[in-house]
Amino acid sequence: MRLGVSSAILAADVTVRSQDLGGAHGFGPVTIETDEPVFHQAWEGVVVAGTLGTMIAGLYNLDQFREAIDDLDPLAYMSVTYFAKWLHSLEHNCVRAGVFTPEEIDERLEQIAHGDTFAAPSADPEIAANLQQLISAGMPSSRHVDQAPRFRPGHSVRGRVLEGARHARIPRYAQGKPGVIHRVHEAFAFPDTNRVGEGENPEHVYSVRFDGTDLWPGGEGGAVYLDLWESYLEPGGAE
Amino acid sequence: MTQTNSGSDTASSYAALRARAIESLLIDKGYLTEDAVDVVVNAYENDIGPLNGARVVARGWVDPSFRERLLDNATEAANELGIGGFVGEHVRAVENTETVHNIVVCTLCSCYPWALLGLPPAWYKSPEYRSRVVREPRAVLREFGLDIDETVEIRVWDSSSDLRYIVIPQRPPGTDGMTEDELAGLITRESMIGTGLPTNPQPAAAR
Repeated sequence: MRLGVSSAILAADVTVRSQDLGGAHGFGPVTIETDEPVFHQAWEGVVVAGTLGTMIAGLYNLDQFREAIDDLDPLAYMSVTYFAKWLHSLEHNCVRAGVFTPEEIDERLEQIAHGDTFAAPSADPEIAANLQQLISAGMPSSRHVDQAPRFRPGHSVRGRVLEGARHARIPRYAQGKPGVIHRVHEAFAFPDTNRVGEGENPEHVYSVRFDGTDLWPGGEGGAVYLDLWESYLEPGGAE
Repeated sequence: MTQTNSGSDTASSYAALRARAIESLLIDKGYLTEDAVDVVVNAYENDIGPLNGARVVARGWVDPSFRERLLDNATEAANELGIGGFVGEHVRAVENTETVHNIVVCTLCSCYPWALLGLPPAWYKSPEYRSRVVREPRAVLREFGLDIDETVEIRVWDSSSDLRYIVIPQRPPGTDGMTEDELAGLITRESMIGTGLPTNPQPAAAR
């Protein structure tokens, strides 16, 4: 999808993490819109529906959905609207899953521009019913893990430094930083393998408390509680 | 609702056209129907929103044993009220007290407890909020009109895994005798994210 500013997808060996914004400097005041609508434009709701419909069909998973967005180069990532990024991911993952080709997208865009109508297949009521069921019942993602958790509440830990891991779900603000285990959560699929089709490999996830003075010396202080998979942690130094 | 910048209008109409193409292809290929799109849009425009979370918080305010269950397992507690479902399967509730104020963010994307609060507001998903609230929460809260006393610890919860967080704000004074519905009416979306407080029912005492 040409995004108008910079459509480059990050090359595989580039280690920029467009999405890793926690603690970044340079951003100004938060723009707060009062009484904002759920969808500013109708197409945004269509994109949400398309995303849910294709994920529930098992075409790709949430980690792959995020991967496509996070692979946008920083200029595009910052300048494109939120749901335009979803649309990019939906297209990318549908093409990758073989749902349609880029040529089919171009052809359909031309047809729409020419005001063509195209007969839709007869509507299968199951699709709407399945989506209603998904919204109502949800889809729990916790998994069972045989091994006991490596860490326990109160343990000192340190966020691992993962240079070059563009998609790892540990923000750079916590990499190499000391923290304390606050809680042992359930286990969830490990994104780093789930994303590239190497299986769920669920791991225990922990709530880890970091002191603001360790993360950003001289700053406000306070505490950040971050949820981290076990692979992102190593034992901390002796306290 | 309309964007004033003509560049944004162009980008938006391009996205609208593109979304329409993708939608019709997904319908052709059997992954969507027009009814299915309506189900999703209607759910998040009309049925699912912050009132769900407000009902859960209000119940916790009036019923101490429910509050305990809410703090222990917010997913199951919300389910007692018929609230839950998609992106509400793994929720943790964190309570504000006299000494602790909680704020929720997702610095890596936009994770948010949809089943309790609906879809997130644009500011929650913005680079400004995502970057600054972990590092300077008090400064960000001041932009929301909230000045937290220095003696109160600020805890920022970064929703970086499958868990989603909801803040249980403190019950305002002067609310004794209010019904649960009336209490729910005081509990704003911002108060359950941590960027605001519940509405004070006594205008004369409001800040």
